[in-house]
Amino acid sequence: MTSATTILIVDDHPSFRRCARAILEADGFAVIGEADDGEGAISAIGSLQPEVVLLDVQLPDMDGFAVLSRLGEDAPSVVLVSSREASDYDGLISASGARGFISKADLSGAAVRSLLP
Amino acid sequence: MTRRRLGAAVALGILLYAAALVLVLTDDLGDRRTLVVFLFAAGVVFTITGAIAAARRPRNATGAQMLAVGLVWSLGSLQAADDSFVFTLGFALSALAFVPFTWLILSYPTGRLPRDDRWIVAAVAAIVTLGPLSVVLTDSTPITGCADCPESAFVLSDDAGLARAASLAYALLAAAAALGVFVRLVRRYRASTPPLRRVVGPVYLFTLEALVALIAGGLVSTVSDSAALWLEHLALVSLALMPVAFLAGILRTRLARAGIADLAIALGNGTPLRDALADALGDPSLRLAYWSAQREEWVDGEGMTLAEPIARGANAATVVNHGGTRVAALVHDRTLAEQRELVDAVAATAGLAFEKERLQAELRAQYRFLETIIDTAPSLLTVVDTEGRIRNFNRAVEIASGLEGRTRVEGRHFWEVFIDPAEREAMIERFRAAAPDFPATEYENTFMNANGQERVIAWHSAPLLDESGDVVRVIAGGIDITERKRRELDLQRQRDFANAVADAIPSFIVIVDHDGAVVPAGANRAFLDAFSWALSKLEGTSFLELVADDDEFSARMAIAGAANGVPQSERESRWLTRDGQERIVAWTATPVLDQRGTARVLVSGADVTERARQEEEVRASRARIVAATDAARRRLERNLHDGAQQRLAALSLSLRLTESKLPVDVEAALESLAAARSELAQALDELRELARGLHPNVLTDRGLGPALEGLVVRSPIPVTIDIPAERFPPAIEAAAYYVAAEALANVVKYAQATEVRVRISGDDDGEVQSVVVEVVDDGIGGADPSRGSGLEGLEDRVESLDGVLEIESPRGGGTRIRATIPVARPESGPAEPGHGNPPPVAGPH
Repeated sequence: MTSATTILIVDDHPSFRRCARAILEADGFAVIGEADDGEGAISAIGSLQPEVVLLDVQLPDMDGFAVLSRLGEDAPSVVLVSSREASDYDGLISASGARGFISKADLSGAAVRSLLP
Repeated sequence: MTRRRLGAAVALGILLYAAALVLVLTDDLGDRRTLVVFLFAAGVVFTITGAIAAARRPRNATGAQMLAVGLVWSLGSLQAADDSFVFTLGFALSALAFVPFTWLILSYPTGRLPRDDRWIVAAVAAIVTLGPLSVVLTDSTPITGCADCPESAFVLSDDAGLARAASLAYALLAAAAALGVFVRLVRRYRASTPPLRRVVGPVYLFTLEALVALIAGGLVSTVSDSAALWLEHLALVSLALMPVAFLAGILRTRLARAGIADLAIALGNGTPLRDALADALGDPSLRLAYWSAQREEWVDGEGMTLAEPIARGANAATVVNHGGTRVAALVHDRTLAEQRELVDAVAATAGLAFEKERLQAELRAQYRFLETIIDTAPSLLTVVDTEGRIRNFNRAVEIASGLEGRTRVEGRHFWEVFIDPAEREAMIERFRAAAPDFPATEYENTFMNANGQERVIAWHSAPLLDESGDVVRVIAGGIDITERKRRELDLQRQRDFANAVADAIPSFIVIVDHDGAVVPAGANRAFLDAFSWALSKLEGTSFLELVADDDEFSARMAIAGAANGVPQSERESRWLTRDGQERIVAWTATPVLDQRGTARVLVSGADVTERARQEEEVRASRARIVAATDAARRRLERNLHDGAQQRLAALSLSLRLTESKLPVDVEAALESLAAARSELAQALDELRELARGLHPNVLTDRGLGPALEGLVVRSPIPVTIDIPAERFPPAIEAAAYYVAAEALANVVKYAQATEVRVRISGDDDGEVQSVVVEVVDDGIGGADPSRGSGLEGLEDRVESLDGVLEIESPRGGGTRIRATIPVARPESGPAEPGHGNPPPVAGPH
């Protein structure tokens, strides 16, 4: 049995984090941590070394693109999420280095996995 | 007639009359003696007087004509011969002398036969030639009743009837010719001027007498020989005396010449020149004209201009020169022209007198000229004696004084004429104080003249001295400056009016020269007050110093442009008050001429500082409204995103989880459903809150009270409210609601207050004029609209309704916010429907 893919959930809304954890764990991901802002996310990525980061675009202290720009070479795979549509962010997503974008209403383990290598 | 011819004629006359004398003396004349003697004597007299006249007046043919009469007359003496042939020849030629005689009498006194009279002479020549010839051919005794006379040597027929007919025809024709001459002479005499009548009168008298006698004799001879003979003798006597008449005419000239001596005496006695000359020339109609060399025209003795003194009608003019210069002209009877020597002699005798009279006439002409100038001059000229009485004055004095007519002014004291009663005493004293020197002085006086008109005269007076240097008169020249004074007064009034207007208007007026320096009195009251200048300090100051540095170049260009005559368009600059404060002024520069005609620049402007501040405020307010709107939109988007949108996303995930759990784990599915329901309830709450923040529906439906009660319920701080139940226009209610809501929100956020009081009231005084919203807390104070607390947005909202927002927020002393919002009047105003509605999403938060 292969070990589950570790994932870090970064969102400032507790209700979303709770629902996302339940969905992802149900779909076989190992949620190893949560963060509610950008700085917390960068810190958790450094300490927890997740394989995947589910990163909300709109955070209280900085947006998800700013968080991405501060991650190093060995950064984990990052999947951006938002309650907005991907088109709201135009070309920013493809230029950010993230694996992809999932609307929050469409989040599922399969959707995340489809974006991973 | 030349002297040579005259000598020959005289010699011939002597010869002829010597021969005639021999005949008369040697023959026995018998009855003819008387006739022959008369004829001889008349012929001799004609010859002698003719010779004298020809010598005396060689250019006048009269003498020659008389001489011719005398010579031809001598032929009649042949009738004295006893020889029949000679006697008959003498008879035939006896009347031939009437040819030159007719010529003489019709030519007298000029010696020139008028063309119209030539036929008379020709007719007489025919009659006196053919008449006697016909008699001697038909009558053996041609001289009627002469028994001693020889018979005619030429008689062809001794028919008494034929002889009588020839004599009668001759007599009738002679009478007709004589009558023609008679009529001609009478007419000529009647047409003559008096001097001419005096010359021709005696001659015509004798001639007419002779002619009457001849005509009568001719006619009578047919019926009475003795009567005819008597008349013939009478005619001969008249003819013999006629040369005396001619001589008298000549003697008149001689007497006139003798009168030249009398003329000199008369001039010496002071007889007027014209009268003396009229006497000397025998022409009472004589007129004199003098040549004014200065004016180059003829003038009379009074200096009045005359037309050119050329002879007209019966007058002739003789120009008199003295010392080679034209001095005068005699306008005299034309007949005097025939006595050129006399006129010239008279003129030469009176030469000096002419020159004197000419100079006097010229002086009078000059005097009249000056008099005309003085009387037509607009200046007043008056001469007063040392008593102050007016002795002479010109026309302008009469006009100015209103006293028309010399007698109304002359002799009166000048102060009675020119000085008002109230000032007369002072003037009299002043005049007497000036005596006896009466030094030159200038003064100006205003008086009411005799016509009740006020006149203003500027006088200049000076003394007139006699030979000893004493003042005898004072001459005063005046200029009537009433009109000038009136115009000056009008001008002054206009200037005062303009100054009053300039000082009353709120606009600034500054007048500068071409260098930009403020001219004396070159700023109006509004400028001086607004910029704290004193006029005396401002004069000479450069206008450019009154302008802020950044605007100086623009101001300099404007002044220079206007100084070059180009009006400048309006511009805004910052002008400096004397203590350095800036005022924004909209101004123009315009080229003008001052009262002396000097080019100036009129700087006129209006203080637009307040307007500019208000415009800036409006611009800032608009920017704030736009910013507030943008912020509200962003806030709404964030609220939706962070609130309902997140919850709905979570709800979606929960439902999907429930869906996946339901077949395998019902318990977990139920748990997930419960979470979903809770999420949905929260999402609804948040959407409701959001909608209330946009515009509380209860405000529209139920008014300020219920709407604010909703706010109070949700407030974490106790709030006391005092709100009237009445309704106001929607815009007023909205503004009042948002003032209270924003103030409450601020209290909750910043004030750290324990209690808040909200009070809304109308300043009800029968009719509500405005709504007052007051929010008072007991917090820490220090609220500042400029720090983006939302109060600035409220200020904009209240001011958009012409309201006022006042904030009192001392540190540690709580905050009091008071908004006074005027209620719209029915016809217009800020709170009309659709006017002053709140921005669509500018709700407080």
